[in-house]
Amino acid sequence: MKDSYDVIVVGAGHAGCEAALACAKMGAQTLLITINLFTVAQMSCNPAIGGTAKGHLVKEIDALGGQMGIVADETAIQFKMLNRSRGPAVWSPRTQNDRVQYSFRMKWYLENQPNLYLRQHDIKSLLIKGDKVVGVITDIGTEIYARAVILASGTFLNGLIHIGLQHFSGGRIGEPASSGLAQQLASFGIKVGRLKTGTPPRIDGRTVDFKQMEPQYGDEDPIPFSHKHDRIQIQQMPCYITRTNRKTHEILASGLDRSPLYQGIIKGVGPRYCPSIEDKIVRFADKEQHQLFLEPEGRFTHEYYLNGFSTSLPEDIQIQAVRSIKGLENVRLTRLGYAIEYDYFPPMQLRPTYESKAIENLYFAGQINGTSGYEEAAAQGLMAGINAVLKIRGEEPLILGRDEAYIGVLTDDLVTKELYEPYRMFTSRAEFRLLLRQDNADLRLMDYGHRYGLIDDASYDLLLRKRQAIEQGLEKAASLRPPLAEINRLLLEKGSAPVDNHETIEKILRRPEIRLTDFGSLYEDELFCSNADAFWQRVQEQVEIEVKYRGFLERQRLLVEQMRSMEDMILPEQIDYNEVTSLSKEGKEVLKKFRPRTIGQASRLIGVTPADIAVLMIHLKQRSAQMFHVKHDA
Amino acid sequence: MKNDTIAAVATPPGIGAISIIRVSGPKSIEKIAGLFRASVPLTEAEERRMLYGKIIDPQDEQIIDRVLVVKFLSPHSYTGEDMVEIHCHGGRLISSEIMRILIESGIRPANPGEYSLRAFLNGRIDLVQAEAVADVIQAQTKAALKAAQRQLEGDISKHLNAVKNDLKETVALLELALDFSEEDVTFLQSHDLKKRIDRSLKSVESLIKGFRYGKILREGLIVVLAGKPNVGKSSILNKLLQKERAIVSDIPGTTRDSIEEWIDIEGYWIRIIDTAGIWGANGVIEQKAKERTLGAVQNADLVLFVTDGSAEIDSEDVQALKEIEEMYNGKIVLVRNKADLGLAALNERILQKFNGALVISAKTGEGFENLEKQILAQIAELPHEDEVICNDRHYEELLKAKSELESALEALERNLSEEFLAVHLKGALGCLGRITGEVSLDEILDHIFSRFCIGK
Repeated sequence: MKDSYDVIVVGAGHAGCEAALACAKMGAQTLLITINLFTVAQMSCNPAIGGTAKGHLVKEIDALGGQMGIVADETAIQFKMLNRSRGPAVWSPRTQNDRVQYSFRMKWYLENQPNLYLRQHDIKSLLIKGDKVVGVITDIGTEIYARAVILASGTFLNGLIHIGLQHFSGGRIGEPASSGLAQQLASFGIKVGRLKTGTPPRIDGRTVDFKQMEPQYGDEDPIPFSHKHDRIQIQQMPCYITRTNRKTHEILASGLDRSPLYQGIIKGVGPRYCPSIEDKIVRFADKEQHQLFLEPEGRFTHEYYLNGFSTSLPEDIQIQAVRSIKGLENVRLTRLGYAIEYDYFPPMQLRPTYESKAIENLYFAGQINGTSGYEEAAAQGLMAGINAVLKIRGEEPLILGRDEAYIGVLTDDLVTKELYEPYRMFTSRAEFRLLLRQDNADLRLMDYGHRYGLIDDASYDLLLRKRQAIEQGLEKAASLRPPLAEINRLLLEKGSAPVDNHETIEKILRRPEIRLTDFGSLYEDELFCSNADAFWQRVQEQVEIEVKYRGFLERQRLLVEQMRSMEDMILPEQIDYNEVTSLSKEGKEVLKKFRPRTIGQASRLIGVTPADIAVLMIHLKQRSAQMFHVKHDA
Repeated sequence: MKNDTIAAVATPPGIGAISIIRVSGPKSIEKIAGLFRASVPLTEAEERRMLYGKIIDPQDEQIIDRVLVVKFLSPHSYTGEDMVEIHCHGGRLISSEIMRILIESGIRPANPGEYSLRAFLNGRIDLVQAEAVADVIQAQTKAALKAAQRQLEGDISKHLNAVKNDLKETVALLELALDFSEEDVTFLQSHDLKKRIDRSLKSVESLIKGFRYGKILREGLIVVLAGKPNVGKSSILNKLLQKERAIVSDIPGTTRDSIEEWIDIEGYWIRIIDTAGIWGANGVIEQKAKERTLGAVQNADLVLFVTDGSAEIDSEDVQALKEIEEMYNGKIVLVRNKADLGLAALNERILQKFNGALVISAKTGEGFENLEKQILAQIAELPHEDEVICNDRHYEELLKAKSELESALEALERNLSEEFLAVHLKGALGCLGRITGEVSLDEILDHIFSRFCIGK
């Protein structure tokens, strides 16, 4: 009997899990294949989810009905909202997580998901007919068929691990790499690149002198990632801060002659935003110390992750260097730091649905696309999963815009820009940063999640109620004018200047020192209530942000509108740029290489001039007019 | 697609007694109505009918020119949008002044070929012409780009790039604080930030001033033909004019003994003055003419001292030179005309004094290429008191950059955090980028990664 599914997902990391869950929730018969079912959703690097810009991604995944935010909340051992001293757009949630619990919790969701099946296998090759993928072949030669295949194999393709001058094959330390797939894909003209990343040593907490370090506690009022969670009540665990010193740097320097990075053995390009400790002491030689964080690996383990000390230096140097650090004088290393080189497929070979341009029905998601980070991977997995099912159903794809979500920025960047290092999300990558906030991810994206069956009705009803309450709240703020005497008494209390006229709440609320709840004594209304429930707190938050930052928000909305008009002009896939005679030479080459989907995308490509855009618009208009003529003739 | 309102001088520079400025877009009538005073407000005026009136600079209520204005209502116009044409007096000065106030009122200078593009997209141009329109746009862009680059050579470009790089660094420092707030690096404090923004604002303002008082744009480079009578100064002038085919008109107010003409050499505006060859004369009339001549010499950027190359230097030449040098200490080029009659010997000392001589013939045209080169070389050496911006688009971007920087300072005053300041500073950076080349986000990240040890 033929073993057949709608979708096969290869790899059960952060991308693979989201992809598989999304497909199955959408009703597709889905098979998730992984090399080792005990290491599902592993946090190969630091035991934390979120952070600047990444926290936004998690909130968006959650609003679309993904799993990451839920599991992160459920297995967190610390919650922290970064950038709290700044404006709402750059607030970024982050959790420290129990690594093992995270993995098993995610596995539990996978196992309990109807339509989803798990199998442990290594995939040796894809079944390809013509230019379409139709299934996979496992390590023991079994053929499994599917209408779509999502590749989410992370760093496992031809993974090569380095510790000092030693190197060996592996997808993660202690786990085998996967070979064969990359070669097969290359034979279809898919370009392969090589990147590098690394991870620090893990240490035994029983041998750490925490008294010599500065503890870093979580927030007192933890804010969860998921819309499903109102309040978090857990015992939080602290992280600890220590620093390297001159002695550490000397030890590290003495090992550079055995560094695979500095001896030219590592060829892959590593991320500049995540340099190894040896890179830090070489490139920033005048810096006398580097900050390190000890992050607990979980509740039921003594292991700590030594954040900031990523290294591929040999074992003896790692041990000596770590022991030169304050508080770590007697520390025992439980696992060594290492670097890993792996194959990736430059993502400009993908459509914005994550489907390969070269092989139909084949999707790529996660680190295999040259990104770094669990959150970036999960976001891609989710989008690849949704789009694979939509294509099978013959429906329009879901391509989020740069103005809608960080996920949209991620996707657009991946398919239109050349990668020079592993891609990580930053808030500065989002030109509409003020609109894409972590606090409004649900308002931005939950409609999509619900439409595709990833968000349940109850959650969606709540969103609709919230949206309505915000609208009404804004109307109230714009129309209510508190009595003069009372408002001035209130302003006086707040140390704010009195008003002469009957001003609206909206106008008064624009003052930085005034909050919506300050009007609680004047009006009996949940909108102004200072001890409102979670629902109303979220409504208040949105009304305040909209009123206080309206000028900036309006400005960005205007820019969005301008961009949208370009985004709405679709460039047909069959367009032959050689035939568009008036394009500049460089513009033509770049357009041929990236094959943008819209005029907007084309305009963001480096090398495409405004004149080229005008020429393309003329070409499009000409083309549509000709097609119109054909239709009339027929 | 929604369009903004654009303007451009439609007549070629330097030709004709009338210049036409075309304005197209949804706000064209409303915007021009605010700058135009006539018997009927433009908004109420009859369509397609010339209206006589004055164009006023709203800043100081000064009349810029008396003009004829005609409006066209959509879709019955060249572009298919609402349009206004302003027919003003010819010459570069007036049309560029009008362009300046249009830009200041928020109208954008049109991109090359943009009128044709709009006409095409609005169905006003036949489909068959589409390729042609595309070609025109590409060609005009190349030409405009070249022209813009030429204007951006030297000091202006250096100055602009310095402002841009400084701003890029400021933005990078803001982004550092936002994306890497957990890192162990020092972030920009608000008073340092204020200093940085103030510095950028000042630089942008000085560049804007450069546009308004741009010497070359306003007055042209003043080149004076001087020398004793009958050495062929007028023939040289005529030859230059004939060659360039760029006669504007005689500037009113010039006297019959000192003629001014405007010529265009490779896109540069040159005001060339042919002086009466009266030196050492005593009569009342001659004295007046001489004063004017010396006045012209005094203001010159370059003096071409013309002699008869077929004859030896005589005392009259020497006397003329002496009087020129008393009034003027700029560059003097010795021009030996009438080369077609054969060259007489030249005193070595004089050759040395002038660092050589230009040998030309106004009759045959010999040596004129060198003459033009000499004039252009002089432009390159001009002392730029202010960096001169003379491109409408550049001017518009600088105005926008200025307003962004001012908004950034305002936001700083209100204690808003980095991401709000970044909106304005990135806005300003975008404006400067459109003049000297875009700054990509990756450049900002590059800057952060190269300067700060980032990463856990």
